[in-house]
Amino acid sequence: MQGIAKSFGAVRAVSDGRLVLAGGHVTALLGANGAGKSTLMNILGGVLMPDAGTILLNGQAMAFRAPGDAARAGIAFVQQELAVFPTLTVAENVFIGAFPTRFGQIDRPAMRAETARLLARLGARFSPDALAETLSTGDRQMIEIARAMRGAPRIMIFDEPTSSLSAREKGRLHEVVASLRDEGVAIVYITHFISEIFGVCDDVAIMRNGATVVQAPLAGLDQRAIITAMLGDIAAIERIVGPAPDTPPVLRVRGLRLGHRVENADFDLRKGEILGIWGLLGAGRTELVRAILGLDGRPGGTIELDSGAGLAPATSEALRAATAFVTEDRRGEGLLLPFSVADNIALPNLAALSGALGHVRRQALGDLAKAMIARLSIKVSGPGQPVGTLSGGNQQKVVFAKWLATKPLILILDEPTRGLDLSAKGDILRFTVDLAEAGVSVLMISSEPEELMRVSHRYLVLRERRTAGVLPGTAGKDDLIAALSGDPLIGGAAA
Amino acid sequence: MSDTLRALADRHLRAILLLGAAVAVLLFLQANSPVFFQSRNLMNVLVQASMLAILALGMTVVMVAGGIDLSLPANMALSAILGSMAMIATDSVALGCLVMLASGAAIGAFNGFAVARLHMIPFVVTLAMMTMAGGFSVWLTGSVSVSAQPERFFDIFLSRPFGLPLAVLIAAAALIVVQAVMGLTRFGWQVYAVGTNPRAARISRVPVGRVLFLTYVISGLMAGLAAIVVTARLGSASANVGNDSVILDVVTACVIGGVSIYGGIGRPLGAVIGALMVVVLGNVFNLLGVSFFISLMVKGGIIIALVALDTRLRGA
Repeated sequence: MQGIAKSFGAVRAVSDGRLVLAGGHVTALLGANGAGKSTLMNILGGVLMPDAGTILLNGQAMAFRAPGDAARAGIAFVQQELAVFPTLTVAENVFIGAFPTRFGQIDRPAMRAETARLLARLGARFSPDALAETLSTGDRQMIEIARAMRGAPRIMIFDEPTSSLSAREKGRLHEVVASLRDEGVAIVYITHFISEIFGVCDDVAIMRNGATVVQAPLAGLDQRAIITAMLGDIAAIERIVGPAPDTPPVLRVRGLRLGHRVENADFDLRKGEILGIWGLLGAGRTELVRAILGLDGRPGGTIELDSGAGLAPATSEALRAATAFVTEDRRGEGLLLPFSVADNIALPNLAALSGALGHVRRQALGDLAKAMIARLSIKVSGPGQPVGTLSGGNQQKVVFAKWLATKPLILILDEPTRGLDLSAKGDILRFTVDLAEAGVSVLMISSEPEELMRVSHRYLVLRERRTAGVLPGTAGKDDLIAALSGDPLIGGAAA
Repeated sequence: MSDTLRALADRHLRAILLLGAAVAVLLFLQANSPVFFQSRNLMNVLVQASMLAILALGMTVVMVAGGIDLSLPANMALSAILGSMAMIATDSVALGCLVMLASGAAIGAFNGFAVARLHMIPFVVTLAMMTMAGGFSVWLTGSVSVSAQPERFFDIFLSRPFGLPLAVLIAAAALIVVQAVMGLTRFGWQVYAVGTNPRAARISRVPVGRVLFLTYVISGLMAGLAAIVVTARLGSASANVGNDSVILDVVTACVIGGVSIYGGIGRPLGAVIGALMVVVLGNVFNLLGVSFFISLMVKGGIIIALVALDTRLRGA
C-alpha cells in the first residue's frame, strides 16, 4: 500500500498510509487512538475505498469496491468484534455466507469435513458439530480464524486479537499465528499491547496522525523506541498551571480491582490538584475512572473520600454525588441534544432549583444559565437555543457549565477536548486550571500528551490496567515515555 | 441554523395540517349533518371524550418517558369492577371511588416495577398485564356486568356544575394537574430527560428507575380515574369496557396530539386535543352511517401517517 489517503468529511483519517507485506512475515501495526490503523486496514479489506493511493498485490494494482473483492483477492480480515452466531454449529459458522452446495442444497458432509480440516490445522480440539454458544471466547476466535482461512488467503489481518483472551488463549493464538506464517501467509497484527509483539512479529509498522511513520524489522527496536515513534516529537510545552499543591488527599484509592477492566489501582488525589492519567490506549484509563464511580459494577479494594471531615470509606453513590464526570461521549452521554442550553445546565441541578412544591423555579434557572453562559463565554444566541445546534466547543462548555453548577469535589475529565478547535481547547484547559485553583480536584484523561503536559500537577502512570507510579508535573518527555515502556520509574511509587 | 428553521416549519406544518383537517371536517358536518352542532350531541361528544382524554393523559406521561402502557383500558375495566363491588358491598360511593383509584395505581405500580426494576420491555409487560387484568375481570364478574351501584353514584354524575357534565370537569381538572406536573415540576423535567436520552439523564444524576416507576403509577391512577367516569356514564362496570378498540383510540389520541412514541416529546394538552378529535371522528362516522370497520381503517391510517411525519421530523 502506498500513499493511501482517506477523509471522512472534514476529518483526515489517513493522510499517507504505507504498508509492505511479505509472505511468511508477521507485521505488527501500531498506533495511538485515531492514528489511522483501523481505517487503513478497512481500506485493505475492501470495507472502505481510499481517496488516493495505490494497493499493489504481487505487483498488480487492485481496486476493492466491496469486502467481497478483497476476499477474492486473497485478503482475510479477523475483526476485533467476534461475529460468531451462537445458535449455529461451528461448521455453519465457518461457512456462513459461502455454504458449499450440491444440487442447490447445503452439502453438509463436505462442510463438516472441510471445517474439521481447518480446525486441525489450527490445533483446535472442538468438533465441527459443536454449537458455538458452548465455546469459550478463545475457541470462538478460532472459528473466526477458520472462517478467514476458508478461502486460502495470502494475507490475513488480525485486529486487536488478544483484547479479550486469557493468558493461555493468547499463547495458543500466537502459536496459530506462527504456524500460519510458516505456511507462507502474510500477516498483519494490529494491537496496542506493545510487549506482546516481540515474540510474535517480525517487523513493525507504526502510524501516527494518519501517516505511516516507520516500518522496520523488530530486531533493531526496543519498547522505548517504538513508543517514541508512536507519540512523536512532544514539543517543549508551556505549562499554564502553577506548582503542585501539597495538600491532603481528597480521594484515596487502594487495591481497586474490577474484573478484567482494572487489575490494580493505588493512588491519592490531592485537593485542588490536576492529576493527569498518563497511559497508552488500552491501559485502562476510562475503565479506571468508571470503576471509581461504580458505573460498571461494584469494584474491589477501598476508596476513601474526604467530603469535609477527613478521609472515610465511600460508597459508589456518595462518590457519584460528589463527582462531576465529563465523559468521552459528549453528544451521547453528556448532553440532551434537543433540549436548550438552559435546560441542559439545569439537569443535574434540579434539586437546588426546585421550590417546596416540587416546581422548578424558572427565574432561578434562567439566572443560573445566564451566569454560566457569561462565565464560560459560551457562544449562543440565547439560553433557549437547542444544544444540538451548537459547535463542538460550545457544547463541551455547556457540559462544563452544568457540572460547575453542582459545585463538585472532584471533576473527572475524559478526553475533554476531543474534536474541538484550537481556541476551544485552550478555553477548556484554562477553565480546568481555574477550577483546580478554586479547590476542585481534577482527574484528567487525554490522548494528547501535550495537553496533559500543559495542565497536570502530577501524572498517574497507567500500564496494562495497573497504576505504575506517579511522576511530577515537571517531568520531561523522556521520563514520560520511559514510564510507559516499563523502565524503572524516576519519581517514586504511589503516594 | 437552517436546520432549526426547517424543523420549526415542519412542526408548524403538523399543526397546520391538523387544523386544516379539523376545519374541513367541521365544514363538511355543517353541510351534511348539522345535527352534530346540537347541544345534546356536543355534550355527548364531550362526555365520551372525557374518558378517552383521561386515559390519554396517563398514556402521555408514560410515552414521554419512552415507554408505553397497553394495559390502560384493561386496568380501567378491572378497577371499575373492583370499585363497584366495593361500592355495592359497603354502600359508600366515596369508598368505591377510592378503590377504583387505588386499584388503578396498584396495577400501574406493578407495571412500573417490572419495567424499572426488572428492566423488562414495556410493550411486553403491559401487554401481559392487559391480558391478566382482562382475564381477571371476566372471571370476577362471570361475564355479567356489575350494575347494582347505589343510585347516588349515578345522580352525582348527572349533575351539571357550571353547565358542564361532571365527567368533563373531572377530565379538565386532570388535564390541568398533569400539565402542571409535566410542565412545571422537577419530576416532569426528569420525565422528558429520561425519554430523550436515558444514558445522559443517568449520568446527570436523574433517578431514572424511580422516574420510570412513577410514570406507570400515574398512568395507572389515570386508568382508575377513567374507571369512575366511565362507570357513571354507562351505569355499570364490565370487562367489555376495556375492549381492544379502546387502546387503539388511546394511542391514536396521543399520536394525533403530537406525543412521540420515541419519547421525550409531547404535551398533555396535545393528547387531550387528540382525544377530542378521535371522538369527533367517531361521532362523524356515526352520524354519516359509516361502517365501524371503515372507521378502524381510517384510525389506523392516521396513526401511520402521523408517526411517519414524526419519524421524519426526528431524523430517525
